[in-house]
Amino acid sequence: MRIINAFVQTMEGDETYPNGYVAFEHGKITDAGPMEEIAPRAGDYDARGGFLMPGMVEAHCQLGLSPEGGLFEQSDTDETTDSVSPQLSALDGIYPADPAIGKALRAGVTTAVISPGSANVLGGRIVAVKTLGRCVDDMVFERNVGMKLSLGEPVLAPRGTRTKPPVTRMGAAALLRETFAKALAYADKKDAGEDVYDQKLEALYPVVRGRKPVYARVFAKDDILTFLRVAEEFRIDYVLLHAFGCADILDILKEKRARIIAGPLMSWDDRLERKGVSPAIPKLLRENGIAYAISMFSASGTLRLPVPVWFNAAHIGAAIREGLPEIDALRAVTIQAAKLCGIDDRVGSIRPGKDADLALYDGKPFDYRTKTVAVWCGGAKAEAAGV
Amino acid sequence: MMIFNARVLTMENEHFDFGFVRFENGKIVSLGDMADAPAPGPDDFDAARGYVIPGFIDAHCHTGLYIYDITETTEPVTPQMRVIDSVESGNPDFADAVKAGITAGAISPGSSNLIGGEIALLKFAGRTVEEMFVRTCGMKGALGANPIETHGREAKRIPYTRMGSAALLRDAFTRAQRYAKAKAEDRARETDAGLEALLPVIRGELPMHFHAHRSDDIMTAVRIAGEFNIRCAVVHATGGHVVADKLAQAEVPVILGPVLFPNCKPEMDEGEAANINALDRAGADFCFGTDAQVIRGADLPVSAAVAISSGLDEMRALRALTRDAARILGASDRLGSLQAGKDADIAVFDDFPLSYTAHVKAVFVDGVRRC
Repeated sequence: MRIINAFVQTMEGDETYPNGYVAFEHGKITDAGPMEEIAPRAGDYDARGGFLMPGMVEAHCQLGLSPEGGLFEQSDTDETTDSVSPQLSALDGIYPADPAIGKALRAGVTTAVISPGSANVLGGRIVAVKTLGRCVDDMVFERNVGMKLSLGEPVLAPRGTRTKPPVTRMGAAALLRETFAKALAYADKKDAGEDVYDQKLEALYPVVRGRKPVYARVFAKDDILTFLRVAEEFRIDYVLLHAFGCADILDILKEKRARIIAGPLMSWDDRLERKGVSPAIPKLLRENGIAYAISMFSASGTLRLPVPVWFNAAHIGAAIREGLPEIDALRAVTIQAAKLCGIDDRVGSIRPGKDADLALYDGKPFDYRTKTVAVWCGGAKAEAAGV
Repeated sequence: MMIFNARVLTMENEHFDFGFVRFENGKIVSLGDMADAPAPGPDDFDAARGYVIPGFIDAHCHTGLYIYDITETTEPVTPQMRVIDSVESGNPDFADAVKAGITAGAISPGSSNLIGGEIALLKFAGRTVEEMFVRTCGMKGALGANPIETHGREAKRIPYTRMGSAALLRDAFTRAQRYAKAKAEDRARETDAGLEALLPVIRGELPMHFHAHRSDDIMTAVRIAGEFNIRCAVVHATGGHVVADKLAQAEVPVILGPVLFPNCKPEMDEGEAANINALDRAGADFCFGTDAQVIRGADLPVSAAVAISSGLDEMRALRALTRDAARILGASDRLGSLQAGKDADIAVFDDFPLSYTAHVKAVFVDGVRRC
């Protein structure tokens, strides 16, 4: 299969083929280049000058966990029974028929990195799935992106209703320290060949051994810094999520080589700790040499979360308006997102050997007039999803 | 004061590709082609060929209302509430919205009550709510899940069902009619604040703004309004496309939104951004609201812009945010377009105002530059 006559933006650096093609076979990209290299033939898909890029990677979201239009019994985002719940996996909560997943696909999002909610200091395993598929077992391609960690309001709230810690920010930090200390002791025993079993500590083994990062949901400046203290004490690899309070501590984040999945950049300021939400954040991170991706933090239903993923055009457009170069904005939702989730060997750019996840638009993806023309996920054209 | 070197979209089917707008004492004095403009002075604003439009109007929002101040949930019918008594005039969300070109909005009580109280059209700049106040532009009503949850399920009183909601609404309007008659005949024994507040509604002067998502809830609003010969608008109208022809036929305008928001409850299942186009095709009258703080008030323009990629004409989208919003809120005499005599609520952009990458260059509210 070949897509021809497209403006191809590969996301490998700023590489483009203004009149180019992409070829793929068995779900993998085999070739890409300028039209001069090939002769069109029957069966080619003519993009008619459309804008072709890798399918977007939504680096942090909760699609499928609380389906659109759902009621309480369909809300599987937060297992609020115990704040220390690393043994969970988002995989077991995803409802593949969530209409929001189809909408994401139609907008050109072909990978969703889905994490458990933010109600627990340790929330469980994050997974990467494709947005086209009938069952999650077919859609998942990375079962352990990392471990979800949370600090801030959702971990503590609603105040007074919890019978177990944490009820304060101090309590949350202490609980993390206690848990990581136990996990380290457990890891030592395990490595010494002892016959040990603890489901929660087992889930934390790759984290305390530095083999998998935690993805830390931190909003306010002080929560960011608290997390960094804990992470350094236990030498834990990490990526920060949201980090709305970063503007004040960019120098510190740079020095620590923090990586940040920023976003959402708009329409989410109803809580005190969200007051820093701003489309200017990616530009600030770029200017300070901090590795970043952009996420819409798209959600589905029962949670009152911010921007539906199919409005990513407005989202990326706002970042560009605030001064982020276009190519950086596009890379932030493709290759950078894939890198920060450790899945860039499979997705995020148009390169031979990578998955044939492609999105074709009739203009620049962040223009308000632009329509999605076609989407391919794993080489399959997403017609079943109505594209 | 004059804005010059501007691409002026008056929203009155008249554009000046290279024009000016002059205003004094908060009112627009004149506008036209640059050829007819007076010589610019040092205080005048050079739009550098950017776009000049009337300020956007958020036709449904809760900006400036602290979360617990939105609905007086102690009983289901409270028309005597006035939202201005809950508004925090200095709330930074007003200034945040102004920075995006939004100069006025209808601040509404919440949707937990069947009748929630008076909706106020406010300018988004001013020290006190009195300075911001333009006029009362509607009476808040609600159908569907919210009143049922608050009163039926949580407080264990009527309404527990949609039938209960409709019956209570009919009772309120019937009592208001009887109260009006008694007053006219000098038989009213004592003043009833709630019924007093409903008088302009049953006289057809003040429209109900019915919160309704599902198409059947929308039709219940239209039905009850018809029975009592009262005017109404439908707020949200997530399932509006299903009954777009009925809305057009009944001349019931729709306040759409929040568009930039996931469907979070079953009664929103019918909704899609593209449905705006169905209302447009059916000839229904519509404008947009953010429901702020549900979505950020400053993101109002995006609500209309997202419909453009699915086919809505871009000038139609812009009109919905300005002239149509003003008309639906009964304020065309002052707001919604650039015309001599209207309020100098003006926004200047460096590109088409609904472009995601356009910058706001200046915003004037009542002729005063606010950003």
